[in-house]
Amino acid sequence: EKEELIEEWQPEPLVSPVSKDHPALNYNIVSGPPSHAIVVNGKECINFASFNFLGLLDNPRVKAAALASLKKYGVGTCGPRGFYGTFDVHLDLEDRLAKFMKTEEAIIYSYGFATIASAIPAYSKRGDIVFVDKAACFAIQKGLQASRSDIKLFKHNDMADLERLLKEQEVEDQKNPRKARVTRRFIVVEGLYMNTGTICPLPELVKLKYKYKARIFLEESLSFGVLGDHGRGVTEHYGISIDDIDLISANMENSLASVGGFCCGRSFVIDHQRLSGQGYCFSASLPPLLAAAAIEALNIMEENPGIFAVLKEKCKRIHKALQGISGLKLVGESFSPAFHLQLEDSTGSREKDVKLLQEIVNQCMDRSIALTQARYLEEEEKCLPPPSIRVVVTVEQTEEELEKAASVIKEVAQEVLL
Amino acid sequence: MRPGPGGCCCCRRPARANGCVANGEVRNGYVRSSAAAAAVAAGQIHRVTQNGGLYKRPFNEAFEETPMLVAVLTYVGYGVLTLFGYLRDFLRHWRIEKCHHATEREEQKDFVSLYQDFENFYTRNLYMRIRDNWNRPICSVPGAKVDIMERQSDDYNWSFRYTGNIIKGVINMGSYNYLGFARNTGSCQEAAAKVLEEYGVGVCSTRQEIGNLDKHEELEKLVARFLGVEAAMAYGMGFATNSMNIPALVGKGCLILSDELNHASLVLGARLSGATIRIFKHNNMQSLEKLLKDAIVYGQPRTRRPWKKILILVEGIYSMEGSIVRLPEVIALKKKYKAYLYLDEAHSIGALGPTGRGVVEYFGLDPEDVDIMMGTFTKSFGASGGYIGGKKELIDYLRTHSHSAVYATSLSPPVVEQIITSMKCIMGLDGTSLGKECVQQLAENTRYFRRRLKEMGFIIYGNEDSPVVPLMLYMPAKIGAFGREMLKRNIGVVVVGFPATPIIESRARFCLSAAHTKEILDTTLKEIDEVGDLLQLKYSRHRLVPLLDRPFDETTYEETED
Repeated sequence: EKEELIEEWQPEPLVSPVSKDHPALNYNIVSGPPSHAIVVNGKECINFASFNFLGLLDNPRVKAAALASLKKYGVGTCGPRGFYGTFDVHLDLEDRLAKFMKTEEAIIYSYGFATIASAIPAYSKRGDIVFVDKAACFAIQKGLQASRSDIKLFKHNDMADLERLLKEQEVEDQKNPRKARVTRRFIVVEGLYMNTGTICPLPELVKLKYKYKARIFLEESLSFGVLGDHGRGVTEHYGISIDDIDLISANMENSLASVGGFCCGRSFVIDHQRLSGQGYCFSASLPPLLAAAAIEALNIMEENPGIFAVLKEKCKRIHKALQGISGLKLVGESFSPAFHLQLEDSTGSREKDVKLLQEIVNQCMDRSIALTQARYLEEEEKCLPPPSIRVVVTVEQTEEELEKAASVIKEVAQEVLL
Repeated sequence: MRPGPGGCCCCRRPARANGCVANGEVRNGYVRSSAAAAAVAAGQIHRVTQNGGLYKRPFNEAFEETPMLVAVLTYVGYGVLTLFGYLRDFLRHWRIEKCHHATEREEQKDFVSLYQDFENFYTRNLYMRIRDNWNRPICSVPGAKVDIMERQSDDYNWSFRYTGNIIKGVINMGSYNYLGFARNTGSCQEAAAKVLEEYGVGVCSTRQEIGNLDKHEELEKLVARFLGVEAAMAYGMGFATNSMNIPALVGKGCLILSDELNHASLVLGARLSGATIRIFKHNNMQSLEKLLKDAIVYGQPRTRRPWKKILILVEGIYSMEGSIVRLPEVIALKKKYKAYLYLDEAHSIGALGPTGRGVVEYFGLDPEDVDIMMGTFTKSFGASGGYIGGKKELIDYLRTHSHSAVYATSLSPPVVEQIITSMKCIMGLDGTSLGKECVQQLAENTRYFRRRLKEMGFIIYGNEDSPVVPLMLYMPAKIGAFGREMLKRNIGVVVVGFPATPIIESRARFCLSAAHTKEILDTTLKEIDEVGDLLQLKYSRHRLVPLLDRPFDETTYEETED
């Protein structure tokens, strides 16, 4: 009888078939480097889609440093950090990052996504409580899922909502003080949110931290190298002491135009990840040429702190220029280099919205402005943001190009949406 | 000591006493019949499988039992260390001894403490003593010989200071450089340099947005051709390949059958997927079959509904044991019970098989039988990143649903070029026979090294053909001593202990490479011999007859058959 059951059982197919015109199936093919003048699908365009904020992607100094490292070390590291995979470049980079951010220690990961996704489960375990913003990016969501802690979402940037949740937790604590003494609390926020382009209200968060005794983990992927007078991120922007933030995590794939990520903070906090960060202990270390490129990029950032002001200027300019497009609304702060253009009135179905926006993107590409839609995994996101076009501003874009982009988007939006 | 895979409920690490049958027979059904005895004339021990005929070549795997005395002494050693640990903690608490490690901020002293004291007991008291064996910084190419930066500690390993000296020419038995592609000269490096000049280093975007370069398309076609599958997709990090794609393939209502000793990335991917996870004993096909039968017959635990999909997670070569998966049997089981197979070839791609195509070629099987072939480029190709290969529907699905394609940056262009050049070299497409030579050299090195170590009398785990060679140390003190002694003799080795391995089975692990010449291997073997005598590491009671000397003798064989 058991044999019959085994015979009869039919599993589902391993993967469900994907329709040929799934929007994400056909990738844009970029021939050549994804730099300021980019060739997408055979068309030459100006790049308004890669996160190359400081234009370091084809900086000759960065390339030279990487080349020197390649000649000395080869490409791969052939091992994790614990087993002869620690190179002097890694130690150098960690040192430089710690000095730049004015913290005690920094730790490097070989992949940006894995940075925050490994850092959170290293500290927060089952039974701990994490308060996280609804608009947190996917990497944070995966880190939280891996940590198996209690997750409490608060409305995006709404400090009143967060305070309400913290108060509720306090009431719970008083009912059960023994449990409260061992439950850790964390607040996870991003400096500049990838999904909305808005900034987190850090001063209020720090106040809440000391009032309710929760630790803050700040994810600065977008704001590192963008905000602040010297590019140190949102803490410098607000003038908050960096010791007030327990852990700052960022990836080096945006402003530093390299690959990988890092966490920085006090040694007390960071050192723990060297033995319990999964993406650190069980994965090969960052290839030395990428680390050398990051060090050179840091050098450039330190030498001309003027570029941050230039970048801010350009962001403000295009922000103003893109206001008032019929049919599209701009979502994001005026100084955020990556912001979204969403449909003002949605058609009602997400699929149709995505198609419309794709039409806009395609037409813009025909007129040599390379844009992209913000991509999400629709079934997996906790709070799915509405479909949008992401526009990225870099220091390399000249004023004419900014003007041109604004006018092209306006024209195309008019044509497609009306 | 590296933290091991897990600490979570799906990867239990029972303190197995080596899983051996008590009468000294080596484990995993190592059947010896008199017919097989005749085959020993060649010095090899053949295995007659119950599944007759599935194996086209001898599968020699051995995990010798821990000698009783050694096990007892190891436990005693750990006991003493624990006692001292408690004593030191007590002294530190009462400030009699200086506390070296970092502490919480004054302003945050009344927050709930970030770490539990007991969690770090092991780290503080045992790991710190021998910490200088890990994280050794190097400053040259991780090839056959490497330059290590010298570090000194004045406060018993709590902090290190770099003296500025560099120990040059240390023989590298620790890096995963199986085919010797970790080089800073040669065609791979030149090609990578050219691409670096042209494309730059970073990509700054995800695959689905604007980070899909023509180089990536080229790479994926080449990988598919290399593996013999319909299509392939490449990712930026090997660890992330597992942890981001397993959740895309299975979800709630599915069953994952995972090997006991799977890597942390597989365990994390399985956990993140939300499917039910059941563990089968390491490389034990009876255990796997029982689980499969029960799963299909009884269905899901409470509702008794049938499972949606069953996925078997195995690795090609297990990096801590040196064992090779019993692929023919796994595939037979998979076909019988209609499950799906996910094969993680992180260590075996490039290292096994007559042309380096991995464990599927090693056993002479069809790559179409394995549903999902995953691997990394870090070990044999001298680059970084991972890939998944399989049918076109699978790859199309992953292109749209993989977490990495949507949210993580793509591979850096010079790294891609390194992979393309090294893969072409292995396949022989660049016109030289360098690839083939490297693969053969690695196989020879493996056989030679393992045979010599066994002859010397060390306990070596794993399959005879695996380039990962674990040498058992057992006692905690010997872990540190072995690492340090070998460094004094200019050989860099990797030692692992708890929690990456069961508590009494600490080991030193050698990773052989095609870049190791015979002289290097001979030097290493000589030093290991010396250190083995010095530290009394030659535990093996089964002394293999050296090939050249004695003729086949029935009586010696009887002794080991016990």
